Parts: sequence; C-alpha cells; structure tokens
Amino acid sequence: MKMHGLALLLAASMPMAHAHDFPTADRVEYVLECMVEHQSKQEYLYKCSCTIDQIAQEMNYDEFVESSTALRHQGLSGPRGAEFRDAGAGKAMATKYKALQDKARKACYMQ
Amino acid sequence: MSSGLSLKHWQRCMIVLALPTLAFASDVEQLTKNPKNWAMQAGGMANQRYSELKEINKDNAKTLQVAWTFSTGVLRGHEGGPLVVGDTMFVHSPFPNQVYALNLEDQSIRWKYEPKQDPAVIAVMCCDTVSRGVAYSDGKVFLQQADTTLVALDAKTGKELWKVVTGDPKKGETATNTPHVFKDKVITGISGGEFGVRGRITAYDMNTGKQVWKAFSTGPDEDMLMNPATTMTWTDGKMAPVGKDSSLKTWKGDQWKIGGGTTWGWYSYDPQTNLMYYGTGNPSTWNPRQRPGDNKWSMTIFARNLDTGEAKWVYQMTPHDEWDYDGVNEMILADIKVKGQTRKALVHFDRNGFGYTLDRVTGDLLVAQKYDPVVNWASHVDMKSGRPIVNAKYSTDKNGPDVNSKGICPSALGSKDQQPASYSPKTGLFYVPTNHVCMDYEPFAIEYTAGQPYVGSTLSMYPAPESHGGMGNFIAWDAGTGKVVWSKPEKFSVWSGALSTAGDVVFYGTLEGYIKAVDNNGKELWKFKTPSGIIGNVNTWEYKGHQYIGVLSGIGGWAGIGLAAGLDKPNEGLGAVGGYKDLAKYTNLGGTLTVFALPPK
Repeated sequence: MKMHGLALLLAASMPMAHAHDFPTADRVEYVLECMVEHQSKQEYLYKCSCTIDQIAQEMNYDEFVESSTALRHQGLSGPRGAEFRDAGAGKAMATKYKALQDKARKACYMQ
Repeated sequence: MSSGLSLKHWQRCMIVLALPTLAFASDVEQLTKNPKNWAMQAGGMANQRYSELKEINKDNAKTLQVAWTFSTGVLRGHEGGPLVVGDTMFVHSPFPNQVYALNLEDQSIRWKYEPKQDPAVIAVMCCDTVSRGVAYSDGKVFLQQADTTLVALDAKTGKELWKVVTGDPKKGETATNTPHVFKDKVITGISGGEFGVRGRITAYDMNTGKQVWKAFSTGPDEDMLMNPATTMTWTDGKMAPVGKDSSLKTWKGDQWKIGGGTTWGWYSYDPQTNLMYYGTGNPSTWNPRQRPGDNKWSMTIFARNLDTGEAKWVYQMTPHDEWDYDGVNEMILADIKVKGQTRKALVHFDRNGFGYTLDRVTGDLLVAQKYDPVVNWASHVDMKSGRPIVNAKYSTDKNGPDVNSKGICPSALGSKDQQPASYSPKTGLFYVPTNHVCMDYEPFAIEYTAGQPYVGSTLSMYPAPESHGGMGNFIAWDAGTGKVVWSKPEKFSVWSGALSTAGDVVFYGTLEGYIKAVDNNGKELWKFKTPSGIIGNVNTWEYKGHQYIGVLSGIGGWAGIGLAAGLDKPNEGLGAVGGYKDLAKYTNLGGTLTVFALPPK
C-alpha cells in the first residue's frame, strides 16, 4: 500500500514539476506585458494567465527564458538581431517558442 | 582653422591660470579615486571597470536582492551605465537621450533633461539608438546626443551651460559614445561607419565648449595631426616613424574622404604620459574590393598627446578590413608582467578576435593572441610586421563580390563588440564578455550617397560550429601570455560590460536579462533576472556605508515584436534602420535600472 501511495504521489507530481519551476515574478511579468498588448482589458488577466500556465506545462523555466529571449530579440535592429533571425540555434529556439505560444493562446481563447 | 585659434586661446589661459589649471584641471580624476563614487563610465581613466569596494564578496553575493529600480521610460537598447557622485546618480536613456539626476537618499528625481532632437537622426543610426552614458566633472554633466550635439549641463540644476554641434546627421554622422573628460578637456567621437562618414576625434574645453583640437582618422597628415617624423608605428619588429602621407598612400584616389574610421568606443588616459588612447572603426564600404590598400588609419589604436592632439604612435590591427572588424573597443591601461618584466601596457580585445598587449608609452607590440579559439580569418599575427596572416579561404576580398565566403569566425559582430571588459589588479586578469558567432559574408558593389547606408554586404550569422552550441562566452584572460585562463559558456552573446571587485566577485549581464555574479574562477555565485536583456555595463558604488550594484536592462525587443514586425527573414535590418515604430503600443515598461544590495541587517 505504501509503495502504491508513493507511486500515486509521484505520478501526480510529475506533470506539476514543470508547472511550478517558473518564479512568480516571471508569471506576473508575462501577464502584465501580455495585458498591455491587449489594451490592459480585464478579460486578458485571465487569458494571459492561462497562456503562461499552458506554456509552463510544456517547457521548463530555463528553456522558456532562452527561447522567449530568442523570439523577442529577433526584432533587434542592425547586425545585433542577426544572431536571432539567421539560421541556427537562435532562430530554432524562437520558432519553437512562437509555435508553443500560438498554441497556448489558442487554447486560452486569445486572438 | 578654428582649432588653431582655440589652441592659442587655450595657451593664453594656461599662462594666466597656469598654477590653478595644472593643479585643478578637473576634479573627476580625484573623484574616481574614491571607490564610493562611480564618477566615470569605466570607473576611472584607465578603463579598468574595477572597484575597491568589498562589502559584497564571494561568500555573500548569493544573497543579493533588489534594493530599488528606476524606469527610464524609453524603449530600445540601453548601453552604458549610471554615474554616482556623492549622493547623486546621473542616469541616461537611449534616444531621445534623457538625463536624470536622482537623489540616492530616496531615489527622487532632482532634475530631468531632455534635448530636442530631430527624430530623422534615428534613420541614420546603424545599430539602434543607443547612448553609452554621460560624463561628469567639476559640477557639470556632459551628454553626447545622437544628433552629434555635445552639451554641458549644470549638475545641480540640469540647466544647459554650453552646447556644440560635432557632426552632421544629414551625412550619416551620429553619436553613440560617452563623452570622456580627461584633465580640462571633453573628448568625443563620431559614429556612422556604415554611411561613409570620415571618422575623427575632437577635444573641447570643458568649461566653455570651445574646440581645442580635432584629429581625423584618415587623410592628409595635417588633418590627422600626424607628425611624419615623430608619430611612430610598429615596423619590422621595432617602432619607426610613419613617414609622410601614411594614410593617403593607402587609399585609392580620394576614397579616404568617405573612409569611415569612426570613433565610438571607450577611450582611456594616462596622466603620467599625458597620452589618450582610442581605436578607429571599419573603413567604408564593407565591400573590400572597392577600396584597395591598407586603408590607414582605420582599424587602428591611436595614442595622442592630450593637449595638442598629436599622434605619438599608431598601430593598425586589421589592415584593409574585409569583415567589418571595427577597432573601437575599449583601451584598458594596466601595468602587467610580460615575459617576466612589468610593462606599462595597453590591453585591447579587438572585434577581430585578437587580444593585443602593447607598451602604452612607446607603442611596441608585445602580445597578439586569439581570445576565442574559433577565430579563423587569420592564422596569427606576425610579430615582426605586426600584420595578421589572413587565411585566403576567408578573404572576402580574394573571393570577391557576389561570392558568399562561408564559415568566417568571428562574425561581423566581432569576438567582442564595444561591451567593455574589466581588469582586476588584484588577480591580474581581464574578464571579457564575448561573442561566439561565425558568419557567411557576401560583399556587393555599392555607390556612395551622402546620408545613405554604405554597407555593400549581405551577412548570415550562427553559433560557432563544433563548439558548445551557445553564442557567447565569459572569459578570463592573461594579457601577459595571451592565454584564456577560463571560459564560461553562455547561450547568447554577452553584450554587457563587466565589473570586477576587491570582494572577489565579477559581474556581467546576459541577453536573457540575467545579471550574474561569478567568483575569480568563473564559478557562478548568483543570478537575477531583470525585466529585459542586458547590454548595459555593471557599475558599483557606496552610499551611507553600503555597497550597491546597478545595471541598466532594456534592449528593445519585447515579446511578440519579432513576429509583429515581420522580421523573420534572414539578413533583414542589417546595417539598416532598426525601425519598429509602433513599439510603444506594446508596452510602457521601458528600460530599467535595477539596483542590488545585500539584505538589510
């Protein structure tokens, strides 16, 4: 019985491992920024929170930091942005994150 | 010439005020000797970015926490850092180049200055609208605006004391460098190497804004303040005079007039030799076939007499540049052991991937070694001629226009860009933020039009192949032997300036937005994620008995912008305008100064 209980506990905690390695500050920051993108409407408090929670289920925190960095830095001007726009690791990370974020947004009724 | 007139005027002043002028040329040097201040962008005139403060040390750095933050309210890249003089902090923003004076007691704003500038200047800034910060001396704050205006403000009130225009944005001339105050002069440079401007450096009287001297990077000797008989350069294993027309001879026709050689880096000054040091940027265009010759004195380390501007010695690192390896990076002055002998050295980590150690008094070349092992455009620097031995495979000139030269390391970003390294006199090592990126480079023919980009090359960049997969390293370097002591891999290029301290902690920032503390062996002690990527420099100061660490974050990119701006295509935006005009509608967060301290006791 004991073993069984432990296994259950492990099974239950496994998917949560990802979901809880995002610091609170980062989730809040994501939601704030996402809300600003949507005229700060109350509705987006829920939709943006939903999106970051979905993302947090799919990738761990370090991967999130790196790949979201790669996506936002694609917009950098001049040669600087090149290491994120051109073929290679930066672009791959950005593409992966964009796809994941699009999927998460869709699941959260975001346009 | 106006410079001659003002020189005479200045000499008269010297005679009248000889004693006081010499004794109190400016107070900034004295201020930098007190580690409680951070009175110059690099902490001091030697560009060491080292602090004697040690309340924060390798044992307690892991407990650092946010003490306060300040938003500049401006998006885009935030380079440079805050100055601290006594109980006041001076912090700047990118274009429109705001300056804030903050009261350290409660972080309230004492004054704010915002210059009126024509936003048209943004279109002629190649690489974002950055500013590398303000300078301070004698109750004045000096701001170098993007539109080339240099302005002196009253440090108490923020009121304009004088201003002077140093270039013409209509010709593609802009400014991104910090002004440097050495003795009684404010020295400033020019940006615009991608627009075919003619680089130069100009010295102004700190008190009046009158031009004292101006020295071009290319052209006739008199424009460059070169003395054919006494300006020396490394020749056949020893120093020899440069001779007449040393620049003119190395250009086709009058190409030197649009030859680049801009001066937007970090200068240093040695009061003992009265020499100031700085580097010049790439020759224009990026298509090397169009400008045969060595293109002197682009890509050059200059040592100039501070009072007259005359060049004492020069050293060209990348003759006839074929890769955009600007030579503007910081010149660090340090007394270090080379082959068992203590030398008054100048150490420079060039974009071209070589770390150079020169005798800063004579200009003798002492060490030139790769500070990233992947560097391949040259096999080595020939120590007799001082010239790099270029690998023909990676010569974009030999391969010619419309041929894509592949696998060149480093990329045009350089093994390091302007982000300044730090030197710790305590460990004798240099701590260097680096790029680990290679490129394919395809030059093409281009016509020069004033005020238009004069680039002439298509690039593609990627992480150094067959390495750790990341695009950056943070390294420790022994400039006496030219060896990497340790190398800490980073996912992205490290574009933030480093800081080393007597507390045996070295700080730097990353593009993810982390500020990191490592020990002298490169072991990570602490990291904290600031609101945006860090391309600013980490600074430190003391206020009311406690040490603080501060860094600007803010790089421009925000979530969603990449796709919103449709910048998903390779090569887009390169050397051109980085305009995403509607950024403001995405966020009002802007760049942020984050200040850290140990927990309250």
